[in-house]
Amino acid sequence: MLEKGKISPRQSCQLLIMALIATAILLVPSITIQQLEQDAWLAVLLGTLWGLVTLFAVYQLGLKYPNQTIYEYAQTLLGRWPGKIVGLVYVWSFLRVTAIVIREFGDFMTTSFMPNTPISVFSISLIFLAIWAVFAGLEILARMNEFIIILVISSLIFIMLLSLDNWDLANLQPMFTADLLAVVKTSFIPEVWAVDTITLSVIIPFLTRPKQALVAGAFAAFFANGLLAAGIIAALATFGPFLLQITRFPILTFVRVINIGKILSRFEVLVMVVWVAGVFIKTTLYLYCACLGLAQITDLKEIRPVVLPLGVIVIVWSFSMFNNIAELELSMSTPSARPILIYLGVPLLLLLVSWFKEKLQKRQPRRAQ
Amino acid sequence: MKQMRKLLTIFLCLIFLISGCWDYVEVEELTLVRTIAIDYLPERRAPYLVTLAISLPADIAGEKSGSGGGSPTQLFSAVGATLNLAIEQASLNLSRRLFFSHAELILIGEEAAKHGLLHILDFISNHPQVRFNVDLLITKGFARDVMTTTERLEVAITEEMIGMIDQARYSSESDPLQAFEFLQKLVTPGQDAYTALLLKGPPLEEEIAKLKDEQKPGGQEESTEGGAGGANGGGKSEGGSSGSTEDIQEILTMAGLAAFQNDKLVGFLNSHETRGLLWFLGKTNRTFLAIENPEKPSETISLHVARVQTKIKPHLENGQISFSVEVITEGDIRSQTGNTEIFTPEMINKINSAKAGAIKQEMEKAMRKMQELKVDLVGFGTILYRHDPETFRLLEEKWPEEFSKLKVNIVVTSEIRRTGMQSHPARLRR
Amino acid sequence: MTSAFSIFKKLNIFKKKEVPTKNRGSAAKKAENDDSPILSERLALIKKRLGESNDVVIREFSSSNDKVKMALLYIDGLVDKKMVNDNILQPILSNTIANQYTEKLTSENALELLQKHITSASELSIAPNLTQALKMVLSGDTALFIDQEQKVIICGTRMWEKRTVAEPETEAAVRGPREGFTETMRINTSLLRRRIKHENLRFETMKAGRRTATEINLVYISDLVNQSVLQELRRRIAAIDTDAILESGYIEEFIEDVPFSVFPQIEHTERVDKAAAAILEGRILVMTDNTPFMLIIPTSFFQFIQASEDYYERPFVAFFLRLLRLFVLNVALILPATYVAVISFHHEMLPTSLLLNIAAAREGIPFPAVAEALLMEGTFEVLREAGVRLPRTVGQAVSIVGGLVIGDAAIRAGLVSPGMVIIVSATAISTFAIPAFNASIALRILRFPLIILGSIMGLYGVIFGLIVILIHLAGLQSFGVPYLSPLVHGTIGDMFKSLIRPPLWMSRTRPDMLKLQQQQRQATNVGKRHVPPEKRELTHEKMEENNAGER
Repeated sequence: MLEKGKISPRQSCQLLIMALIATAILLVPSITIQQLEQDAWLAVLLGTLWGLVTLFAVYQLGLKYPNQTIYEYAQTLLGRWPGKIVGLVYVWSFLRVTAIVIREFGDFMTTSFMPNTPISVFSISLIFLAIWAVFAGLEILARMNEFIIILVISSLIFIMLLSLDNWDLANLQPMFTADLLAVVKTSFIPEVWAVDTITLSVIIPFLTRPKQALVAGAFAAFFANGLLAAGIIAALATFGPFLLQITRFPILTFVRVINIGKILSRFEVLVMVVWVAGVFIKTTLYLYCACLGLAQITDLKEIRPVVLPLGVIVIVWSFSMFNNIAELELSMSTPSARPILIYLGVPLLLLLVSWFKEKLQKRQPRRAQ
Repeated sequence: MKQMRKLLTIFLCLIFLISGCWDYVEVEELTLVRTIAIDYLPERRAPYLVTLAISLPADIAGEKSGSGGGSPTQLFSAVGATLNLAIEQASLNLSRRLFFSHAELILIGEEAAKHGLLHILDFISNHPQVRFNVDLLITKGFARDVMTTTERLEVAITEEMIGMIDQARYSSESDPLQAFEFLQKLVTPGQDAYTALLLKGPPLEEEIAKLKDEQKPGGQEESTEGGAGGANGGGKSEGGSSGSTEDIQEILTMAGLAAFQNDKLVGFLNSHETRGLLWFLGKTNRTFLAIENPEKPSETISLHVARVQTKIKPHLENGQISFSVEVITEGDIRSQTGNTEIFTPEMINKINSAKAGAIKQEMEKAMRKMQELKVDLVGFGTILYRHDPETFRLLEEKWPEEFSKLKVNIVVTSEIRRTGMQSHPARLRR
Repeated sequence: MTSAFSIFKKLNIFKKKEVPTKNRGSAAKKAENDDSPILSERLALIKKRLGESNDVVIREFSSSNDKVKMALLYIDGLVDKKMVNDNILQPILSNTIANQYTEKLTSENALELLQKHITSASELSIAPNLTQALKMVLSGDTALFIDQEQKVIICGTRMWEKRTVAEPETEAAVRGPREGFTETMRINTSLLRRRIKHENLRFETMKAGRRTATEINLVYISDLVNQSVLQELRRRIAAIDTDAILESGYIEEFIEDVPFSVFPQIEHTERVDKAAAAILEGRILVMTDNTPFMLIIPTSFFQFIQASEDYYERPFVAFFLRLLRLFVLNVALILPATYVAVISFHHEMLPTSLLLNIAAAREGIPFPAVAEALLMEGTFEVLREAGVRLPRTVGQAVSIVGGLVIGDAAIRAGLVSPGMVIIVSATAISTFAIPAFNASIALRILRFPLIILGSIMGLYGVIFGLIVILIHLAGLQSFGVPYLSPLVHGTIGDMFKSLIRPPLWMSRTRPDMLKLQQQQRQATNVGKRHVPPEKRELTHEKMEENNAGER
């Protein structure tokens, strides 16, 4: 085992919540509102469903192959080399998510808080933290997260409560006008948030009680997406869909106009704090999954040698992936088959293969008799 | 591994220390822009004239005024092809860095509003510093001229205008909107935007004095008519405090609205029409209403409105769209010009119906004005869209025309709950 | 991070074990070789080993029947001379009281007779050789050497000047016992015994320090304590091999999990009631001789914001105070950094009028805000440190007057802005409101890097620094208990208890995080206030005789 620590189901649930909320809260509203106007929150709720499908597959596999991550059971199921290739695909996609998150984070910071600071400062300092935390291990990450999640969630709820003053629920009307196909399509677009449950495929073996992973994951998906939907509803009720369509960070804009009695105002920095803490946890979690995967694929005994190289790769990738924020947004909001294949297709495929294998194994002894 | 970590740490520290502090600005190196006044000079290559009102820290202002009577606000103007260029130009005259996060007010001159607000709104919502909830006001004439008005109650003219906006939110003669509210109205289909109008002119008693001199009946501007009406007490009290010894000191008044079609100014609503519009929007809180005494038409009763609730519903019959507007108000009686016994239930019922009639009349007047200007300030189109998106989609293109011949049924219900501290009017016995 | 340190630590311990056993072995051999039962030779050897120290007293004498030569050895100042006289010398020399036995004394039966019949000291033991005897003598016992006899009789005669039990100075409390530990181990153990009159209270003696031979007591309740923690603690203390242990701080450094950390990982206390509470909670108290500061093991971070009177005052008061301390903790850590970050990066966060005032106050000040903050924080630390070192009566005056005068003068001279003085003094007061000095000084140290980070990157820098601290804190453990528990990695109940002190009748269990042998603290239905006493469940712990509610 590359990881000695164990985390509890509660901690895994919290990690998932953080991973879901962190990026979603600033990007998903703008993408979904762009497509669905006032029905954006429907897509978020539907997105939960995809997360649950992934969760189910990953959970079944995790129970069938206790103490094995997806990288390991992919090899036992598909054979050594095909399994390694599947593993590498996952490493690649985890790294991709990390790179995108870091890029988004840097763009957000330079656009709205520190316009004169180069983006590399944010990217490099963030990846430094992530690398350090990956060195420290999953157990410590989970513990930090327990601390951070309290702050993040309470401040999000606090912000929403403060904005109640600006709400106009008529902005949510007319409800359910978007056609179902558009909702389904949109629910697939933000590949990252809907299927964060995939990280459980790496985490389940390190749970103290793996059987509770399903409950933990489902709770995380419902809670995080519920909070996200609430955030979108709050923003919609404040601004209406048409103004939000033209803003880049709807939740930030939404916080910028909170002003209660001219005293309780200017909470933008709170959003930044939430965002930094959340992105840190998410980056670390994904970088950890990628590093563990690479270490397991290459049969290393320690995770350490791969952390730094992968960190550097992520940084370079995050710089070179997009030329400008428009490209980033385009790539985030264009539906493609790749995320569906990776996050839904592969786990389900693996599950099918494992079912077939079991059936074959059941038949074979009978024949022998 | 340990060495690697050390190297990493050192590397990071170096990154921070060598290159750090890009956004570092000491407070005292900043100048706080409090108001941005934007004017448009047509037929120029650099049409945007930007005037920045800048607050000075209290100490410096004190020193200055101690030595030579300077005001704590300084004005800087510049022109440019866009607002950013104009501001860049203005900053050439400054010894400190401009900082916009504390700008609370954006004044837009009439000419600029007629030319279109798109660029200005774009500037506001895209600027990382300018707050999205700055107040947006339209001025008659040049916005720059408003800024040179001498302050009366506050230390600086910006504070005075901000105070006036707060006051305006408690009355119903105008409705100042914040930038994001304005933009929201602008981008929402089936709705046109408006915001409050800021007037600069001589105080009322000066005009009355002039009026006496010239002995010219009528001929007043629409806006002052509102001030002279029995329903408007604001203009009078403001005029009352000014001394008449010096030459005419011009004052600012918040009254009426500027109505926009798309992003262009198309007309003004005077304070009566404004209140008519606000009845539709359910925003007339704490206003005074004057009605004729139903017994003696020569006498006037003033009523206070405390609560308003407005419901607007679209009706679609044979492809003909009409709206029903239901207004429910509550309030109390404040005063009367005579001494009629009005505190009886029957009398109150009569007053109620008179009040409802007056409100309805006001609303219809506002409606006529809006239809004349073809601006749907109430957002009938939006209401239709919310109830019946498909029908609205068909009409969306030609909504202004559709709106100009829209039928609206107004039903006003009025309730007078209390009659003030008095139980009966004073009886004159001789 | 942690694992690297622990590997490092293991190596260290390993090394230490190897080297000393050799030394010890050779020393012991040498002593045994030289040691001889002949009294005169022995005395010469003693003189050689102890040297010409003037507090070493050797008294040679013979028994009253003149058949056996004997000698007494003790250190002047460490023994009760009256006791030596009355209980050892008198019975042997005089033939009045125990004459029937003194008559019979010969060198063969001397040991037995003396031990059983003649000396009347209450504490008596036999040392097998001279080396052992000398160790006892150096701790204040008296050795009785008998000619021709290898074994040595040791009489417990320890008595020296000691400080009386006084109020603890570092941990003042509004309510609670005024007794604090002293430097004398025996008094301290008695103070604990008086509070916990239970047969399972254990005092386990260990020694550390080759030259100081400091006595260390592990105090715990044997049917509560987590055995693995106890085992680990024994192992770590046994592995200490150094020449001197002068204070419990030495031990703390040798046995803590992560040596390179600003955060104290072991709590220390001078208060007897606090120590007793910790023992009753299932923790282990490490008592060190010659110091009033006792170590509490294991420790979590939130213990540092708890004070003993939390449990003496009403629960609401305790809840309020804990919230206050938590707030103060944050203020002490991040207030100056946040201030610097806000006034040099995030000007939009402040209300306009406040910003204008700050700007006006900063007008003409030559330093940037960071330098100002560092300067003022540094000055404050100097004043605080000077206040501690100066004589107590002067100290307070100096720190207060110094603070006021310097602050005022600095503002007048235009060196610092009044806002900064307010921030620094608020921070200073906050640090003093944290009950544990070692925790507050850790925060004070961390404040400086945070200020610098805040000045480089604004609030992002501050958060960056806080995350770094958090990574470090989350990795810390104290004897298997996560440092941030119970807030992290704890049960919900523990989490609440760390913040809200529940009424005593409701807190049924001991903290889960300690993994004790018995969780339950009191009868389950104590919380139900209306149960008559005779119907209360009294069997909450396995005891032969339960005295709950006894009058």
